[in-house]
Amino acid sequence: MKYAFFAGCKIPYYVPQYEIATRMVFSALDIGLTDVEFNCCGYPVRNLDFYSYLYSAARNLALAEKSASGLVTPCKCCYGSLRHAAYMLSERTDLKDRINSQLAPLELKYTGTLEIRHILQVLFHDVGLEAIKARVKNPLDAPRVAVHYGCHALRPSRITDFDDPDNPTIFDRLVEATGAVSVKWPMRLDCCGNPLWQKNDRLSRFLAAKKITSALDAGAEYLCVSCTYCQIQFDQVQQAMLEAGDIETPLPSILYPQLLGLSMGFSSKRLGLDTHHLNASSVALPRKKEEDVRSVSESA
Amino acid sequence: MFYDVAYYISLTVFFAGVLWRIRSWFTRRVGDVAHEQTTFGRVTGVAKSVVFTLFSKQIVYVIREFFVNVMMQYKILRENTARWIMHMLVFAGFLLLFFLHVIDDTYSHPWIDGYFSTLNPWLFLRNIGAFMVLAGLGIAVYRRLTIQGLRKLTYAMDRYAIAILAIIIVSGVLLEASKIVSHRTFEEMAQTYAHPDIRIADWEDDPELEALMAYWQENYGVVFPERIEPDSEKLEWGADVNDAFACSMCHSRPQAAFLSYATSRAVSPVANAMTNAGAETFFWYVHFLASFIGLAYLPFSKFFHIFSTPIRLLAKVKTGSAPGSLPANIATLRAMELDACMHCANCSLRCSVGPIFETIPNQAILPSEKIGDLKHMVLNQSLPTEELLRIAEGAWICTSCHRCTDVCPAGINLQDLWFSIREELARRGYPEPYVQAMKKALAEAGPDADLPLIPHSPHGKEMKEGLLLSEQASTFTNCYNCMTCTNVCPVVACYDKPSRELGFLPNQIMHALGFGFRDQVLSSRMLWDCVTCYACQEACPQNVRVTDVLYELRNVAYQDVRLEMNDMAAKTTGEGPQTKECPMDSRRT
Repeated sequence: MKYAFFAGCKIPYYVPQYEIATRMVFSALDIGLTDVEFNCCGYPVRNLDFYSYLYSAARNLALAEKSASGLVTPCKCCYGSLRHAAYMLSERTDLKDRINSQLAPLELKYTGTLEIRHILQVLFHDVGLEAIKARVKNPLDAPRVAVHYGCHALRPSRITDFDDPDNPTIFDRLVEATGAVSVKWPMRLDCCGNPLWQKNDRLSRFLAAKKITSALDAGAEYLCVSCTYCQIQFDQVQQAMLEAGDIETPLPSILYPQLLGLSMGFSSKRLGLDTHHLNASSVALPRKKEEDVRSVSESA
Repeated sequence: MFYDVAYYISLTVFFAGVLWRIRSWFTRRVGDVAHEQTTFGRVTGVAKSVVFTLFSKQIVYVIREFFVNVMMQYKILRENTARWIMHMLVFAGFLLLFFLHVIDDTYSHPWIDGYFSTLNPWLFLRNIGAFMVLAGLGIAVYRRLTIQGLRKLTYAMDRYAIAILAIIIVSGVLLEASKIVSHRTFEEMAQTYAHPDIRIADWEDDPELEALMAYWQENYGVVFPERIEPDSEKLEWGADVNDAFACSMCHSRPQAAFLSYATSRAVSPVANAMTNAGAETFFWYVHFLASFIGLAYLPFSKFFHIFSTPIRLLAKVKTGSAPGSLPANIATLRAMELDACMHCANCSLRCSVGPIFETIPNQAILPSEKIGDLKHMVLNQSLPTEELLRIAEGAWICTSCHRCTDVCPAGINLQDLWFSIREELARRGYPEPYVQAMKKALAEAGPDADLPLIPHSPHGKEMKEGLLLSEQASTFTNCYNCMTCTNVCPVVACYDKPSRELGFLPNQIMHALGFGFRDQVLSSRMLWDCVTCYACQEACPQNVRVTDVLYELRNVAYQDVRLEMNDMAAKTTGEGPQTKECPMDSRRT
């Protein structure tokens, strides 16, 4: 299937390495992407005006339908937002008609045939774990990774249909395919706190701090995310939290395509690992001897 | 007399206007950084930066920028070919006219040897210039009319700019055409250069004059009161006379002035009436008056971009450790950027949240209009509340995607300006709309909000029926208060005594909605501290769409802000209260 690539608003300027890494990995796995100039998915405006959100999302879906049969996004908030809009438009024909009449002057029409996917779904379902493992030339030396699922892809599950909402596994299995170890940690399905950023910064940071502490307690060395906003929260905001003394130990965050890219043999520089606020490049390095001993003794 | 007075008045206004605009670059305060800088510091900052640039490697980048983006306008070409052709036609045509015609001082030219306005190639080149400008303006009008988003964003200032330029060029062409056909001008010239007593009415008595008139009628397009029958003998003689009196030394045949000549042929049937009515004088006045008005209006119009945009483009290249990145220079650059915008609206056409303007008709959402609002705000320290609310709505609907900055042909760092709008708004006590809605809901909760039991509020039913957009928002009636939503909420889990911090908790909000307790629900911190993680909705055994309902309640609260804003605006404009659309949204005409 050919996918229209929906980067979302924040990636091009704030997290460009996410798009770069995704494109590198996708092209190595022969997943065709089409470029369309999309607008905002509508997620940020949903707090103010539902219809504006729906119109923004629907405009994107109609744009994507023009050039591809599917849409893929690396951002879980964009994913949730677009899935929710598609669901609403299928349930509410009155809204769909109203929006289509507003889209008509732009020669756009949303019919509802578009497949909306997150990059993890494309990797897991379209490519498959076996095919990915076959491309892993340079398996990572068992870095201990806390997988952060991301709320807006997971829930509400009857709309997002991403994975089992109570016990999801696809992200863990994709991470383990690279040679990394996915640690078990209690807060893996909780929110990163970013939706409250600039609305209640204190609470936003507190939620992030709880998660970071939980992951560190479980022995994680890195966080792995696959959402633009989660990455901003665990990279840029975490750095501010460290400077403010909210937390003491940093837990660098890696974007999944970077992790996969490393295991496929791309350099950490090309994957943009050195552009993070909290440097995560060490994930690519072989484990030191004494660390090996420690991790073995810990697991024993 | 008229010419001199009008010329000096318009020139004075022009220079005063330019100085006024340049002064504002050093005095306007845009964003927090500017409030820490003095005007003196900003002037010296620019001086340092200019000196640094002139005597460092930076000069190479400035020269390169000058050729690539000022002369060739690559940034426009990159965005849109039609627009580039349009702009290049106007730009090059105008430059041609300016150097060959505007500064020619009527007959002699300060720089070009052998220049004479009625000789080729000048006669021809002037028309080429006019043709280019007119063609460019034609494309501009066509684009403004046919590109959907652009049409809506075309205002008086854009129309004036096109109209003044068009009037100048068209009146120039008409002036030249009316001179071509004018027998009166012919007579005056003959009197000046041949004999003071010559009258063209006496042509039948003067065969030499008749020959010359026949020659000019056939070859130069003059229309005489009575048509002269040309024959080859007369024309041959006429050609000799034309040379003998040295007419041909100063006059190329006007066919080269293709626009004016074509116009003169088109008007030839009425040429005599035109000449007798004084068409030449009329078009002369129109042409010069329009030119002088254009000159005086230039610093106050979008034409000022012919100075401000190149300066902005050239100033842009100083980055890194150069003095261009001094805080004083950032303040100056931002102030200058407000003038460098020529309102091409490219940013708005490409804006990520631009489509939201279709559903929330607030022009402050669109970058090309937001820059005007910022200017408006910087110049007026005391704007009315509704105006600031409107600007705040636009300032925060932006997702900071940086696309506007990437596509701006003037190289304006728009994203940076939007951050300074937010700083300005915060300085005046206007937070982002989400917080604005929360503050209003919390402030209006009233004394009843703390009562444990409240009678059925009058808007209970309306409230329930109003929640229509979320997926089955009315599912809150299914709630049997099992508290699962509250127990799984990560925000509730952050507090030891959540009710004290958050007011109604999720299950209480769902339950209270059943009673229609609007104010109590909207004023719960819980509503505003929700992270939208959907844990509650996923866990609800009764399929209540808890998160969706909370989303929609925030919409309800924000509607209150909008309604208030509209009512205030309606009072200001003296119109009746409007609830659907903000009257300020269409304040520009």
